[in-house]
Amino acid sequence: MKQLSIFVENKVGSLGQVTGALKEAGINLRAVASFDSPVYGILRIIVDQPEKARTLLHEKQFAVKMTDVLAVELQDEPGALDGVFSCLTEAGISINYIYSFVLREQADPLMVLHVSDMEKAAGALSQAGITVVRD
Amino acid sequence: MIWAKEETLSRKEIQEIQLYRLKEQVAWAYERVACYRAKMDAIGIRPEHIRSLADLKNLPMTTKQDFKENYPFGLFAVDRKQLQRIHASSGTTGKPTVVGYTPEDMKNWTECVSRIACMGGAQPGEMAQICFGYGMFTGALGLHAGLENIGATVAPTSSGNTKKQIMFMQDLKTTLLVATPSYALHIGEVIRSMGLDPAKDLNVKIGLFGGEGMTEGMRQEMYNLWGPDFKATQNYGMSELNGPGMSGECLELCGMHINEDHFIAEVIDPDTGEVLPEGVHGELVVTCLTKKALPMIRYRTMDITRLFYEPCKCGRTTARMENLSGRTDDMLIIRGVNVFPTQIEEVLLKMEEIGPHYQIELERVDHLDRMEIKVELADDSLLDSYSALEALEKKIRSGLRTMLGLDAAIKIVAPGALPRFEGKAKRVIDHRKSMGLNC
Repeated sequence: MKQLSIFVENKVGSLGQVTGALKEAGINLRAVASFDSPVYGILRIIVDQPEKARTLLHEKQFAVKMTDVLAVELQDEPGALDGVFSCLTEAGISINYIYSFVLREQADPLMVLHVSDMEKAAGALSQAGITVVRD
Repeated sequence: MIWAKEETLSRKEIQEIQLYRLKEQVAWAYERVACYRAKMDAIGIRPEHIRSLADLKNLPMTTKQDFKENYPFGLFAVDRKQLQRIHASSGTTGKPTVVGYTPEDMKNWTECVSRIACMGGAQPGEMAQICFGYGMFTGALGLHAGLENIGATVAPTSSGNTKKQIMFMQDLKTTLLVATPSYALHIGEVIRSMGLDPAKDLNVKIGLFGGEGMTEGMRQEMYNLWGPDFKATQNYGMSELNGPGMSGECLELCGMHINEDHFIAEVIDPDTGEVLPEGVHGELVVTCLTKKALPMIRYRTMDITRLFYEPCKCGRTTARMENLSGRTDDMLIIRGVNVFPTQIEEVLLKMEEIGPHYQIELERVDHLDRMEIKVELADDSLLDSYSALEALEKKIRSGLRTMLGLDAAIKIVAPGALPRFEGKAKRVIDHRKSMGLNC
């Protein structure tokens, strides 16, 4: 799955500039993550049209990077996320960051992960019976 | 105490010495330095054309650019092996301004600094603490030699580590402090915050300040912190003119006395180069009369001041220059270090991860200068992680430290976030000025 990382300054309205641009172009946000930081932040988003969003944001002078991330489907039950983590720990893969989807219509929760070895992680998770979502 | 008889000569006697030495110096430079010879030949003037002090104005001027073009030794009049010492200060770009001294130059420099120390109230037997950074800059070692020469005990504590400075000040019973005025204010404030009163609990009675201008506001603050009887004077110089020792304030505080047997001061209109009369503001141009290693004929200091010639109440008859009121170029003084924005630009433009636009912001926090440089992120690939962005900040900081010897806070901003300029770019925002500080 493709993720966009966007450089945002820590000031009023900077996130809104990104979401405003996406709204105008009719691009739908599926997941969003940003953590508190003193001066600037990296806003990470997943959208329905990543290529279009990247071109658009570039045109509007944002610093944007497209990255591959893993999206894994979780059963809505205790221990589901723990299963994912145990699987990755056993495979010796470290997690750089993790966040969850905003909402999915009638579907199971989805977690987005960026890890040290993407391919190996996808393999290990599939083998453990955890669904890795492509799009 | 007046250190030398040359400080009390009549105008006529001073001028006689000046003319004799000027003729010698112009011939020395013409014969030995290609740059001077070429400039003089170009306008058809020869050393023998200098017949009176009024002829000085016909000589070509020397600039920082000449240092750049002749880096490192091209302006020197003696062989490198005849030099006893090298110092350096900021150049407008990567290469610094290199200066050098013969043993005789060192003696003259020391003599000039000794006079300035005495103008500021120093006497033999002082316990002098020098809080200038030692190294290639002329300030620390210049004051060091001048104070030793008058019979002071010198503690070269160098700059920084304020708590330790204060410990030495208490334990050594320091009587005289050498520092930039802003650092002296900072030390004073730290002493007060420790619950001590410098006027009662310490022995520091004299402050010889330099490296940056001291405004009257800063001087008042100096009295508030260090006590009303504190003798706070400033002195002037620059590495091209030996270093400190060109001029200094006496305790009458009515301008800085120029060591006129070693330097001739002129004030010019910076646009036309025309020499301005006494009392009119303009750019200070200095001719060194005794420098053998590195002669300086009509050096443009880019500092703005004006001159007065009437004798002073202190007994000295030497000309005085008013405390500086600005610069004709964009040089900044940050923590006593001369910084040209072009030096910063040179470091930034080499970094591909950031765009060509930048902004330098200066402020003074707790009396200490703080520099923040904003740069625009250009390399999208760094958005993988915060650590990549932090590494970029560190790389920029380290590049600037190498170039300037100063730490700057780096702020990465979004592409396009910094102002664009159609005419002359205004990339420096100096909040210290709006605080009424002379920088």
